[in-house]
Amino acid sequence: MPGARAMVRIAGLLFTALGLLVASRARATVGSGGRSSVRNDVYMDEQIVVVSPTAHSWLELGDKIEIDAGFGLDVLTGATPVLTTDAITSATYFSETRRGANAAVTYRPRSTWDLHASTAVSLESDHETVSPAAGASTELFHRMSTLGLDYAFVHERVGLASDPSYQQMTLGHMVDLRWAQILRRGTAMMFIATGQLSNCDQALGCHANPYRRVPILTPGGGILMTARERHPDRRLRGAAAVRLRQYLGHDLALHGGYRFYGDDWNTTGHTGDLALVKTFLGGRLRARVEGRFTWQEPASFYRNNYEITDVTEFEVPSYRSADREVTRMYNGLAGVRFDHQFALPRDVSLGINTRVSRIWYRYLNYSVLDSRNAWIIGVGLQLEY
Amino acid sequence: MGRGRSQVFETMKHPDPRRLVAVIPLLLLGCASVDPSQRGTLMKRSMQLPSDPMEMAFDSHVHETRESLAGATQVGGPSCGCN
Repeated sequence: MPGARAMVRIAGLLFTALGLLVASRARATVGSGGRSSVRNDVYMDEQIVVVSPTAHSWLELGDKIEIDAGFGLDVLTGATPVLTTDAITSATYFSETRRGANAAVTYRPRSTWDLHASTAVSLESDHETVSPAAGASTELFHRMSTLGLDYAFVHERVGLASDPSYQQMTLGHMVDLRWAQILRRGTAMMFIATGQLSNCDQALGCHANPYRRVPILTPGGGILMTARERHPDRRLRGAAAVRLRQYLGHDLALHGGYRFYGDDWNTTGHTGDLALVKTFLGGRLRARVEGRFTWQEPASFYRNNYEITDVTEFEVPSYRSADREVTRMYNGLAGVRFDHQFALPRDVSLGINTRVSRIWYRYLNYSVLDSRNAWIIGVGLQLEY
Repeated sequence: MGRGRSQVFETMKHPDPRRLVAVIPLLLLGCASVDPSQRGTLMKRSMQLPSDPMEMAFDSHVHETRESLAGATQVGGPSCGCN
């Protein structure tokens, strides 16, 4: 579990968030309204605990402008096996904190158009990400369709805690196309497509871990040597999803979707999800029971064992990975969410939401680990005014 | 002759994008005009995503850091046409 210092940070964040809530509420008296949200989510599996408190506020300035800002932490603690030059050590304890902040402005020149720009920053001791983005969306065909296009630029810097001079850069571009369509009175569809291109430094490649080393094995299975993980220095990724929401009557709705993913590392994936959503108490209480399943095929260069045939004359494979996230795997999620809205005086409403999810990960060609099982628990408060 | 299991599996691994795009017009065949005044059902809370966008962002972050898959996550939805 997080140490005392982490808990102090979380408490500080929540106090700051409360200040933000009060400030936003005061500011809303000169605007048209707004909402603020504070929440804390916890991810736990056998190896790691991630505590993620966040706070976010949205504020409408008249009819045409909305601004929002938020910040959050990911406090990671856990233990993981570390591969040194010739052996896998026992589990090594680690603790780190990621700080994130984002801000956005939305301008609506007409009731059917919005233009938005945002920036997000994420900071860790050895990893920084800055991502400015801009986009637009419009409603078409008697407002039956909503079409949106977004672009984000991503700049990443990867360092090493043990070597301040070590630095790797990644420049990325991401384009998102969204199309929401009303099909009938109780049926809505959404199509989403994303394209991403990452250009990464050559020493490490894209999404490789500078701390992770890959064992090069002798024909007998012993560790001959280890090499730093190395991925291709370019990655082109694409994903497309279709989602449907169908009202079933009696305040019950079915939500479902399918996503296909593919990239130029030959990784492919299929994700399906389904949820039943029911409201009670005149719509104030909402319950959602959901499931999600993902199947993933591995990157073309991934091997469970990088084994050589001749120990006297060999070449280390150009690309090598010990990352379980690029292996053949599947995972399933089952969860429930509840949220309740309370009407308060002076057109203010308070929402309380909570969720519990269980995720089962299964790795089919990863010798270090064949499974892990996680819980996600979250609770949030939302104030609308 | 039916296709073997391995052929079906290969097709699943590398589906033809044209087939995915072809599904969309089929979905629109049943598209009927719905006036903003008739969109009460679509705007019911049971038809909406979880109310806190930060919750959805956390979910995306969890999945994207533990799978190699990313993108095309759900945000937004159809318009109520009410403003």
